[in-house]
Amino acid sequence: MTPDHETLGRGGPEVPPWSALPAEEFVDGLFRAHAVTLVRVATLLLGDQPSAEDVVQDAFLQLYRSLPGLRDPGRAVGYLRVSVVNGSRSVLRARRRALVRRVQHQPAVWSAESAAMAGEEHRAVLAAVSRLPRRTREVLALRYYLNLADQEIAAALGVSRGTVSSTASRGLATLARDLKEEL
Amino acid sequence: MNSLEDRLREAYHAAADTVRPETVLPGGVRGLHGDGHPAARPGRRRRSRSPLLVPLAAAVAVTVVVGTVYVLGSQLFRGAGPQQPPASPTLYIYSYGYSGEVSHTDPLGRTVTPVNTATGTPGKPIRVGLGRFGVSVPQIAITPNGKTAYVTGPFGWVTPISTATNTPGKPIHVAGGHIRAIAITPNGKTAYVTTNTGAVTPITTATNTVGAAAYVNGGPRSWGGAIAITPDGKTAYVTTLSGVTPITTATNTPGTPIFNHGQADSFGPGSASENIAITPDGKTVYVLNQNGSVTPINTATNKPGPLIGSGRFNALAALGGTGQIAITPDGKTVYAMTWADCNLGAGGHATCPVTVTPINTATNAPDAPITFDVAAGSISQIAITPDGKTAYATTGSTVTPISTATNTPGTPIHVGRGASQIVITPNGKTAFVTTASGVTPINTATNTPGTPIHVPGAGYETIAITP
Repeated sequence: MTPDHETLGRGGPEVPPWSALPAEEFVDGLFRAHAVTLVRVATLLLGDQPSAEDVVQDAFLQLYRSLPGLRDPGRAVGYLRVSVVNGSRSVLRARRRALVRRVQHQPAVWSAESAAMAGEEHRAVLAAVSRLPRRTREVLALRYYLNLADQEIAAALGVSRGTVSSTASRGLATLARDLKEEL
Repeated sequence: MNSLEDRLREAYHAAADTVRPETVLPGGVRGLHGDGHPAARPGRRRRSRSPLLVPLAAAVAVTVVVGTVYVLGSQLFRGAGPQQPPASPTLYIYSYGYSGEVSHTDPLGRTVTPVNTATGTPGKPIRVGLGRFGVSVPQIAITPNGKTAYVTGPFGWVTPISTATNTPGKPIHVAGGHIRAIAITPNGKTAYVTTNTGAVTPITTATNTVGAAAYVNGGPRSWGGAIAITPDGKTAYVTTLSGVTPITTATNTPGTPIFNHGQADSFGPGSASENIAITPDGKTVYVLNQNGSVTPINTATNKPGPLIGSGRFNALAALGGTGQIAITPDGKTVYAMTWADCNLGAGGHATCPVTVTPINTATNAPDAPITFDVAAGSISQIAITPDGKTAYATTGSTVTPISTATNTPGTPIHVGRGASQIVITPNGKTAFVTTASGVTPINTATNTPGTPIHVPGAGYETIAITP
């Protein structure tokens, strides 16, 4: 065995325990690999990047804090997804409260006030999506942006697989109606 | 025309692309470093710099440079076997940050996604990540018959992928540290893998078994680098910290190291030979040195000729300048591309010069260099069309075509920020360029960009195309 011998999956040499890795290194590696995608998906849920970054930052901190209790670090990305979805829900709830007090947040990237995104067609689609119920928006973003399987979406949202597929088909039907009416 | 699902996907990608990777939490996870205790709930828009993440990211960005699969491969693929090529070539895109099903051995989400070049449709991502972390130099080398793509990862692992089924085979482990480069002999029988300890390991492609490693330059400090194999397959040339070592492929034995001008330390530490290419007639090896000069080596005598452009590009070498080298299919012109990594050092710079120097192989005289100002931190590459008429250089957010007849740059083609890796289809009709947000095809007849291809992941490290 060479000194630099490293891990391999099933059937290969023994996989060293995750606990052998310093937690910082573990979280840093995950961050480097997944932060951008997670911020992007949170932006789809929340509409703006600053809020999305806050949610993702918190998700990584939570992961770091709960790392000692995490039995299977292979599930860390799934854990991060759950945190991002939950964090986004909290932000949306806080916004509803803020609305009452007339506190403004950044306009959504697909809104007419934002110059971030090009393409009328894309804006129209996402504006229609933003009128859907919260869970439907979550299912559609995880399915059509992250390309997750229904099983993984179910795990991220804490619902059953059946709920995911029925929510998605209802959401698509509403979208189709909505977008047709607009034309 | 498009289904609602497609419209939704495209709209999501358009919105997601407004999040530019380099703007995302540039300080990494705040509270993770320093006192060791995560900060209490932090405020908005943190901009602190983590001492660990930034150099790590920089290291990854720099190592990507060595991904010269196509430039190297364009010669190696010549003389492909009698096998029928697939109907349309497959483009393989190496990305990281795939957040689909998480593998035990790869939290980084490293995948290779096959893309049908005729339709631009990506297939299912193939997991190639092995080992936990570690700065790898991902490269993809494809056998001349197009049947197997070898993907290198960290810690000496190589994953073979069957291009017919796009399934990964059992990973192959090579000794000697981190992989720097991979090259396949023109007959497709052996893949040579170099590592940072100077080990050069042959892999028999028929069985995917490794042979005994040859050590270049005789020691563990020798740092095997780029590798190129002569068109007759008899000699592999491997760059080291101080020059080049030829390896006789029949016996896998290293020959006498060829030092630049016979002076092992003429450029001091860090004067590694950066990249290497061999003329199609196999007579001359061109070595791009880290200071931007080029050393020609006569393969008949293994003697270096006079340094080309010595001292001319030294300004670029100050902070780890590095480069690419490509030769036209007719062997008449070498293009040496060098740039400075202006990101290093305090403050950084907004732009950095990238220089492409044409060298006439008949006289080994450099022509007037063509200089581009690109955004700092960009990784540029150069690729030449199979007909040899045009060299395409990635230059920041554009791709610049260079006419090889006149060595003049044409109108830059806008492809989006972070244009980096470039490959050209075997028929020369399309160039594929990685950007920060996707892979953009360019019609080489009209030099117009097409619709970007999106594959899962947060960043693209390298691409390769089947012959």
